[in-house]
Amino acid sequence: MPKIILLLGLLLSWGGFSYFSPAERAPKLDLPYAEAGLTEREAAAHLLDRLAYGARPGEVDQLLEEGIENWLSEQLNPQEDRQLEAELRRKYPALGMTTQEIGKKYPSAGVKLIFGAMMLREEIAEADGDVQAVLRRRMGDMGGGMAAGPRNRDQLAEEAGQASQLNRILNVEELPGPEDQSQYARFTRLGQQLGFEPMEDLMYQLMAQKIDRAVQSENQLEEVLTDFWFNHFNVSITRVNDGAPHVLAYERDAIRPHVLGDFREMLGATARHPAMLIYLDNNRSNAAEGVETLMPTRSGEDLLQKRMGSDENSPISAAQLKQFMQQPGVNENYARELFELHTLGVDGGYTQRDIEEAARAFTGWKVDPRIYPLPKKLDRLVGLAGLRRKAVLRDAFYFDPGRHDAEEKVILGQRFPAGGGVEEGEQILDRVALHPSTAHHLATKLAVRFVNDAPPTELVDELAESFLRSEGDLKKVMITLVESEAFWASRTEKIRTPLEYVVSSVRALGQAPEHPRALAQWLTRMGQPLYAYQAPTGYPDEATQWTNGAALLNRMNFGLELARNQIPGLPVDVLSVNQGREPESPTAALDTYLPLLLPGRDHSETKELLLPVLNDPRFADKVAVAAGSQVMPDEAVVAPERESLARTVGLILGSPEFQRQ
Amino acid sequence: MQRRAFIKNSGIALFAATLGGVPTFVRAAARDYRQPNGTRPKVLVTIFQRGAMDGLAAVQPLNDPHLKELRPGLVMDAARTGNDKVRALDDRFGLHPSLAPLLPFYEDGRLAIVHGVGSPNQSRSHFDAQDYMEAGTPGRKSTPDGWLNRVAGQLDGSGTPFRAVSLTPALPRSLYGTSYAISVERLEDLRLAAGLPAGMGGNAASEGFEALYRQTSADLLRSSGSVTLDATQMLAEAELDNYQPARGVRYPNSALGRSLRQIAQLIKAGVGLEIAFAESGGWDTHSRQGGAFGGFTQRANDLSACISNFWRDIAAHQDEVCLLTMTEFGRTVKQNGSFGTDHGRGSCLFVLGNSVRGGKIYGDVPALKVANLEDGRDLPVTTDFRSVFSGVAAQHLGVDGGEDLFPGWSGTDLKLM
Repeated sequence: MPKIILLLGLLLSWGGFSYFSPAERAPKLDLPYAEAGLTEREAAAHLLDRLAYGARPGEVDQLLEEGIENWLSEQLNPQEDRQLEAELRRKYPALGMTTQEIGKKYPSAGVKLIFGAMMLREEIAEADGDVQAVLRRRMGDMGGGMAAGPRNRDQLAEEAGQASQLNRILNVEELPGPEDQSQYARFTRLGQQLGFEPMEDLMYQLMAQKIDRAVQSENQLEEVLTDFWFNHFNVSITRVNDGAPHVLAYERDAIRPHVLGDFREMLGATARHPAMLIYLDNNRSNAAEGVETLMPTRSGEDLLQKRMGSDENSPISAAQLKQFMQQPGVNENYARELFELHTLGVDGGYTQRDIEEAARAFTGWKVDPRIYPLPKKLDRLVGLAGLRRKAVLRDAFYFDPGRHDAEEKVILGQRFPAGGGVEEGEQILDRVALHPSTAHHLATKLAVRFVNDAPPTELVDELAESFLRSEGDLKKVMITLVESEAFWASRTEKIRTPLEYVVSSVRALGQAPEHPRALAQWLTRMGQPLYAYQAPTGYPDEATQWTNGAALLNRMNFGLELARNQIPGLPVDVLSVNQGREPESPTAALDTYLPLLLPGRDHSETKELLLPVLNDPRFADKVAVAAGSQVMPDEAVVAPERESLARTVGLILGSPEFQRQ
Repeated sequence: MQRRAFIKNSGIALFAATLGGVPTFVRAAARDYRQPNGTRPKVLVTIFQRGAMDGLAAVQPLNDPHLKELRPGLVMDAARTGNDKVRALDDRFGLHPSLAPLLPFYEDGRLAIVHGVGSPNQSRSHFDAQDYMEAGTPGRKSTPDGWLNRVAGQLDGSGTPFRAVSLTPALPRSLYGTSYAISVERLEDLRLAAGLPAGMGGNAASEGFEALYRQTSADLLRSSGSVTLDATQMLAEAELDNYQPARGVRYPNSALGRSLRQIAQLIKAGVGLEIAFAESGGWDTHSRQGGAFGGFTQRANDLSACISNFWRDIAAHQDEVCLLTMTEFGRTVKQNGSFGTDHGRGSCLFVLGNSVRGGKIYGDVPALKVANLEDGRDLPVTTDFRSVFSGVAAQHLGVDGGEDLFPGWSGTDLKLM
């Protein structure tokens, strides 16, 4: 017993020590919200609007109780939310897989065909050429039912095409022709037999984990910043390009760990990640013909190429082979976006010549071919080839000395002597990461995102200076931001992005989706399909981007459908937000729900504009008629007596005031 | 500085200045939007054929012995009769039988074909080539806007909210940019309180939003909100639910068919459409592309049926409309081992309009011997796609075209009109 007490005492004192340590690590914050004219309550609401995805019911009070400074300190030093992470990994298994594992399990269609065929051929060879035995083993139980989910005609046609190519590759007539519908199912199931999963599943996991985190994570600032920095270092899943399978790992490994850390590390992690290497074509950037490289020997890639193209019954067509083939010639896309978008900015003081020289320095920066589902033997050989030629293999990054332009370069006025190797690219990243132009470029983007669309130049200068002084410490820059008066003075000046709007609506109602598929579709209709901005610029961070076109209309409709419990996978009861107490009149409804949904704000305008409509007897009549009618379209999405309240809440969520943050 | 540039370019700013919060605009213009000079605006309808259409199958050289040698399983015989007969366009080229519904337009002289068209950038990746074509800057990915958005920025006057519409779930790269553009898959979705049928008191909810957005003190939300509400009213008055295409018109029940049907609705409703975008997928015909069930045959059947029905549907408005097809690249001259074709370079495109100098094949297709082929395998690109796009935009819509439309390009417009 005394031992236990002693142990408890130790634990307590240790716990007490650790309790004080974050405060020691985080210097005292000087938050000038009062100077900017905000009450403490407004300041708390501002933080939840800007540095989080909106307030949940009662969250402003909780934050005030905890203390604004403590809340910020916690957000700036996020601790892993183990429970949420475990839950997400259970729902979205790709989150727990390495880049290689994801690449092997969720190959894009062409990759699936090529390597699926190669795997089968390997098996056929092992079975002494007995094709039928292998097909029986692999496909014996595949007759009959459709295993695949709904497919559109284009997908069906594509699968049919792949199946008939597979026939050719395997030189069998086992698979029926494209006229036969059941073949689509057989081909899909053959893929599953070989360990492949449909790409759409991976894309769903990617989008769903983002929405779930935004709604549920306690580390809200980390989520908001992950969204910001992903958009800064944008890659895209548009039209499921070859880089799409790697976007999930990209956000997880290259972006999220660094958003409150070191900018240079994030820059390096993006530069070396397969998602970026493929998206901006560096994977195909090679020393030009006749240029000195570091090593003449053949790489694992060449081996792969040779193996794939060696026999006349090659499993792949010339065009498909070309996808994997490396041809001499520099591609400038990564180098250009590195300067223009990721670091210096468009007027950052570099020339076309600097781009060309930097592009030469990044030749040989490639993706490890083992992210593809190679047959076992080939996988091993490719790895050995890499080791033999001392290629740098790190995670899925692969530096190919045989493709690297080893001659001298001059970049941004600095001479890089011949033979710099992979370090040369790293030195360029060092140089641009902490360049004053980069500081100014990033400071402007941060100020636009977190203050307003036309931020004061003094604020931008302060942020840039903080970035340079701290050598790219992004946490220090965020502290400078919250210590600026401009940050607090910009209350409700930003328009919520569609993601911010959808997630903050869900949070305001105290809900979390069972599955966020429908929310992802709404985001597309509001103009922000997740992970699908095609251009490397990322989404423009301006209010007009989000109010254009059909976007606002879809926001209004979303507010109504959410409050009326019409969103699949997201049950909503507007009464529960008010602990089940029902307001007695439209005036009471507005007086109750406006502060609940829009805490720490002036609601007078919204109330003034809405009240006449809600008090108009025609409104009540129409709603009553509608609610009482027998033609409820979808089985009682909302109880008739709540119809009026649900619409009132829908109007608040869809209101101009709720679009602001 | 940035801000001023944005206001100048922004469609919203123009709306705000001209009609923000002025609901009377709707009543005046709902069914028959006119330009300041009193005419209906011209309309450019674009169709992106994603996946890379085999231009040599669509419009086949007739007397080229190399073609027969390189694609014996795909080449079609002009001399044959029946459904397989390729339709002679002139003494050099024939139209694929599945595209036969387009033949009357060619014979009328309102359909032009440009052959050997493509990009100077040699990428044979769908993603890259589509990106370059839609941005209008081959080889350069950082271009922030799309070429059709830049066209919208060059149009006269403020236009209506329906000036640039894409019938796709998300805005295509072609329409990225600062000018106002709508993307919508189904026009019904552009209805306020769409989840509440009108009989369900949906109007009551819309009145709430009308009150909120038309009178909010937040400028941007008031102006864009008003434009949005105007747009929904315009569509409501256009009575979309009861749309009946012209007599005898039957759109295929395909993605493209639904898109063109709705584009026809917008044109006839007179809501001020000037730029429309639609997609046709499935052109990546790596195997069994020919024959009755072949991928190319099916896509070509759909494309030609969609376009010919669309053109008949808008009979009264044909003078206003020009239709332009495009695809990211062509396909190998030689057939592959599974009776398909792989990613190539030059393809062909169609331009349809009453003022088009049609009945003619523009561009240059050399004899298809290996020495003449790009990289020894592909139809060479002899016409830069930008000279067609710029020419069509300039000649049909009256915009400047040229380098403002296609940054870094100094070529000349192809004269098709």
